[in-house]
Amino acid sequence: MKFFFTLLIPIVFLALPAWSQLNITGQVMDGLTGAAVAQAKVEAASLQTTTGADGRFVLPVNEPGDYTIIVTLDGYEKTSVAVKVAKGSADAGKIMLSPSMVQAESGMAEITLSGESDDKDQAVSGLLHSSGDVFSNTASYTFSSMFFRMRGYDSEYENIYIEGVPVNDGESGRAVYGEWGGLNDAFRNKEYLNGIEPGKFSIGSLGGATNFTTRASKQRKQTKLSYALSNRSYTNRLMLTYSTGLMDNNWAFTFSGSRRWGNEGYVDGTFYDGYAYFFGAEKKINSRHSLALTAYASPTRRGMSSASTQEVYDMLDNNYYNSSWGYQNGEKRNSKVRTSNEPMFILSHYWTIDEKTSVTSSAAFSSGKTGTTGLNWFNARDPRPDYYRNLPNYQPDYPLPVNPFTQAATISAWQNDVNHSQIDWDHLYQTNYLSNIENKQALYILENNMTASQNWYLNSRLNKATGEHGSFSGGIELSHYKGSHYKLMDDLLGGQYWVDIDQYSQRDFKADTVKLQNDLNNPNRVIKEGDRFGYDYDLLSNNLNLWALEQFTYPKYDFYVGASISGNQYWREGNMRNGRAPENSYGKSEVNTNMNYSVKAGYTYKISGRHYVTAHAAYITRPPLLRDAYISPRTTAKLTPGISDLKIMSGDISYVVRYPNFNARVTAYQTMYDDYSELLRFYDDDLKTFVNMSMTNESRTHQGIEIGAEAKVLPILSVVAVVSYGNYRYTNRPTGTRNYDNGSLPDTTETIYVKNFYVGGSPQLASSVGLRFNKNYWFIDLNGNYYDKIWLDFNPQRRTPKAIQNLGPGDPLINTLTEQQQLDGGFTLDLSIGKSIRVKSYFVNINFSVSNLLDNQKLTSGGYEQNRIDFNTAGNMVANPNAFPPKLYYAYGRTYFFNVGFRF
Amino acid sequence: MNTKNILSILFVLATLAFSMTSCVKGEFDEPPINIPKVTFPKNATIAELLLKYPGTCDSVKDTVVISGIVTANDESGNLYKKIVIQDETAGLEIELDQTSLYIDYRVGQRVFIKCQGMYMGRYNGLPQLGSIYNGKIGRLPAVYIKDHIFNDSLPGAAPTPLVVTPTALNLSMVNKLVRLENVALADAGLTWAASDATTDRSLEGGPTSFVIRTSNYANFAGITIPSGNGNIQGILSLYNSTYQLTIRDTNDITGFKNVKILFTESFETSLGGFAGQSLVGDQVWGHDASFKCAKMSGFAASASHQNEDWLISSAINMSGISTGVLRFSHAINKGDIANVQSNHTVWISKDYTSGAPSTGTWEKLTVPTYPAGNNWSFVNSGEVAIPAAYLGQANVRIAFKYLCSDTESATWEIQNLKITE
Repeated sequence: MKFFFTLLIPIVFLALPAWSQLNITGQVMDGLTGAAVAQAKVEAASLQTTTGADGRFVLPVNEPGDYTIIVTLDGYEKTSVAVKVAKGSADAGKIMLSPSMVQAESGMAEITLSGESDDKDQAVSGLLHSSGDVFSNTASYTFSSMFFRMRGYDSEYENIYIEGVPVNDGESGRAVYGEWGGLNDAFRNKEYLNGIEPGKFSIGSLGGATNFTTRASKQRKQTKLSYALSNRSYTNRLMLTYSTGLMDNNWAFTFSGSRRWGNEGYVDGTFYDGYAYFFGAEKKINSRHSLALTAYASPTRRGMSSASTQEVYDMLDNNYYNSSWGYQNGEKRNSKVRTSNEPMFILSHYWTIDEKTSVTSSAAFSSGKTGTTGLNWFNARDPRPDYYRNLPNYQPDYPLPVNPFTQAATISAWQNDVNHSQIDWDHLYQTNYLSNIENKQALYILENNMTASQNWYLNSRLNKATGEHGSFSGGIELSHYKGSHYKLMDDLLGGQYWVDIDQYSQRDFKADTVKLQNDLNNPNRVIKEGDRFGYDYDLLSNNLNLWALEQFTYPKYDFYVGASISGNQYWREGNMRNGRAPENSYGKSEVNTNMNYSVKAGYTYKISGRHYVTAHAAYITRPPLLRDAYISPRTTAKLTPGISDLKIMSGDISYVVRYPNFNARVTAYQTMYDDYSELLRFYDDDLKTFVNMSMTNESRTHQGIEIGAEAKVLPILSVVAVVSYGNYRYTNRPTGTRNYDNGSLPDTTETIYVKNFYVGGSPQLASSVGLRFNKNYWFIDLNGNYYDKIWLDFNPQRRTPKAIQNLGPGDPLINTLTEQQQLDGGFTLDLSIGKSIRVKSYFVNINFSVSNLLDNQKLTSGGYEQNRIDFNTAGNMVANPNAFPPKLYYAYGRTYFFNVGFRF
Repeated sequence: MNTKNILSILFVLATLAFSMTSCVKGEFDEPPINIPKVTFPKNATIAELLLKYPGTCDSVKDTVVISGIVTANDESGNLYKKIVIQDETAGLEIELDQTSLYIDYRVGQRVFIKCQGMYMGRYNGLPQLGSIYNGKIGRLPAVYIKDHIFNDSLPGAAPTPLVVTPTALNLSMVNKLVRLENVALADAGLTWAASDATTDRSLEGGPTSFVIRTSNYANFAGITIPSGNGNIQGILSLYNSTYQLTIRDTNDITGFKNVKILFTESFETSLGGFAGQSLVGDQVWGHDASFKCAKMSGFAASASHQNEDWLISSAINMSGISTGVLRFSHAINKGDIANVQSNHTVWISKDYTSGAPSTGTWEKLTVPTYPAGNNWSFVNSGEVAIPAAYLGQANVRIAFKYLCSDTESATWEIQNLKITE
């Protein structure tokens, strides 16, 4: 940091006298319709602007020279034009964009909207980017099927704004793209900041920032109907959008709606049923004031899949085996159903004070519910078919570890009896029917783990040109979050009732009538369908963020300095008095207050209009995520021991080349995290209780190189090459704290020996080479992709002194237990073909894309180690380190997406 | 109407059509109750099976089919991975390598068992049907259960228990549901099982060849054994020459009085409310963590040392109490057997507060059962009645007085002390 400021100060003073203003002007048109194209992004060197309603743009460049203008907009091919700037303004003339449906409509990104696990579901960064940067485009579309994360960052390091409203989730910090899923048309205008770079709407983040412009006056005037057919998450998608543009009466309206549905996706038992609505209205009050309303929702219900072990996949010869469904009355029923619906309302005010000053403000409210169902049971067998005791390798014998006959019989049952390999719903019902005869409680139920959230937002930002070279951006962001967490009885599965006690505590504290109560205020409550039970608590926070940024542009240099300061308060409110924590679960907890800040600076050196070097640096501190703040929020308001503010230091440096027929970027980056915290929650089958395990005081380093290059080798053919090579590692030994949900054991703290481990969950090497043909409105894209350096997320328990206790030095079991597992890399091929046709005043776009054309079904996209170790009967030494192998996800095999759209 | 309008209408209609007609399944019908029906007959009684396979682990090679009613299962956790059935001739324990068997095999369920391919054996005398494990009778692996055990119709009433007397048990009653009437339990006031081990409890005045055996995993293991006379039923089991009764759940215990606990000290983790007073000798009362008891011995440095040591309780409030019984377990070893009763005595006081025992007035209590004095086995003291003079008093103390000489010294260990109404 210090180094950076020392570098900056002389630059400020050496600032050269201003050149007379030079501009590149032009007009962007639709090549097919001849209509002006608004909201297109126009870039030259390190500068950018967007086109107005008439398609025109003015780009001030400051210095004469050769420039390459790059024009981008979703739905169009990226277009480059060479411009020579001498004196005064250079006119680039009419730039014709050729419509393309290849990327935006390929459906590629939608895979990630319906990913498998709870985490993966929302953890995909960079979704739906479209920019002139070939690296970002490829990373967000092509790599998304492998859950690639830019620079290895989780999505909580990418800030998403909608009309300036920061919409990242209040607890996980993540961008929840599903909240506007199916509204591709209405969310096509966006501004994207790569990495740590700042922009006019935000000081940015660590892993990029995106601001969606949804105001109706900026939406393309059109009526559009499209239908898609696919075999990924859903089978059908129907989307209808109508936008008026800014009408003569100074009103603008946008309506958009869609439905996505299918009885079964690529994975067995996964259905999809999603609607989406969007309404935008804007009134231009006068030349200085406009008022806009944006309202949208995407109510979705879908069946989830789950990860299994390789043993199960191999046995069934299916790497996409899904244990969450089974037959009920001969029909497929999924036990893990996710429903979500979080409507958002944004009221925005745009105020142009003078030609140099504008203020953009918004007030927003969202409120909604997300739920995921799951089976639960009381004093009964685990109904999940792939529970370890149901597997062929768990067939104990003596002296053999596994009985070969029962192993073979179990494999046969798995392969031939669908009620063995899938959930046997009819048996669950029958079990409850037998309980009914004895007037006993249901033994199997389907519960819904709910999160009901409420968000209030108030934001305002000021953009002002300061002097000839400066530009100031700054703002205030206020928000209040409330997330209510509880379980709902979804289905008693034919049973009569359920009793709200904790069965795990019941097992451990047999005569203790207090500890086993989930709610001491309502002991032994009888639960019927629709009732809340189990746990019921709210997490709340108030947040204030102030940011300011000054950007300077000179002929040879650009630079900026920025800072933000934030205050954050959070607390828990318990609505149940839990028997395991009677004094620390009910009512409002202590309020925790944090102050944090960030500073950023960056510098661009323009070698010429076509070559430049740019560097960014940032130091950021962040409060703990609300999700991680309480170690066992379901039972107690106890804070996670040792949790503290996260500190991030990050920097990158890029070399950018832009010619009309060749553009490239090479970036090297390094990010260091200190005091990183993670919280895991899992069921411990030995102790028969849920365990919360935190890792605090964790340090990580993410470093790597990004390369993106695009060359137009023929008028009709471009070649694209993209490489992301990273090295994301743990750099210290974090502190692990184990907390037992049923209170049977006191918290234990231990050192987790994971120094130099790799950060899992994303390929650290992702690369792609693509060919793009474009002629007569035919588009063909062919991409070959290679992924490697993929590591499994590790189980901290395996890397503790306890795990290897009583093993002698050099015992091979130590390595087996503690080594991190690397997953195989692999190759995929993607193909897209598209065609745009004009029939009178109607435009038809047809697009057909096939992902993973070669049907590579052996590419692990991620997974996790089971949080369990097989100890000997005395419990003091590991017995079989491979007894609980990791659970894995595989990237989809060959899938297709066919889309046809009409527009007028 | 221009073409645009027509198309707009068509689009809207298309949208509606798609949305309405393409339903994604959301609600599921509840499956009907399944009333199982066995279509093959039984061809042997349980008694015939037992007679035909009398060994400790015999493979059932013939097509033997038996049938019986489930009398016990693992619902309460007192049985683990087994069910017990009986027909009109005998009972039989079925060993199955599966947990939560009761969800399929409720008490009262009629089952048919195809025994061919299973193993019939005896585990320390107890007949079991299962499979082979390490050369001995063991559990039938889970994957085979469906091939051998078949439910027939819905569960009905369980068989009527056979009323027996503990002194007149025989092998034909084993594995059957039996009932003992008008009996008293020796360990009233204690729990059915210790927290960490399966525990045997006996009948008051009952034969030593009969125990009530309860697993610490039973959901009623932590419940206090009632006093008075009552009826108790369960499955009669056998371990060599000892008969064991396995209670299925607390409904098997009827007619007793529930015991009110006035004072309890397990000595599991410390001396608790008790404190030692050493009058003679260097050795003192202490806590033994490994055997979870209070312990005193005058033996140190390979020699006996004369001692007089008292272990005195905190104040016990017996206000408003009209009856009281003291129970504890103790073990005595290493001393002169002749001195077991004289050197190890129990006392009571209502005016002692602190300091030397002589500051209070003490009365000696009669302990019905002493250990033999030559081993480490804990025995129950039996019921030590609290004399009437101490009932209704607020400051009652119990003391254990230990004596030994320079020539001989015993070790006295005490645990599980309880005073009940």
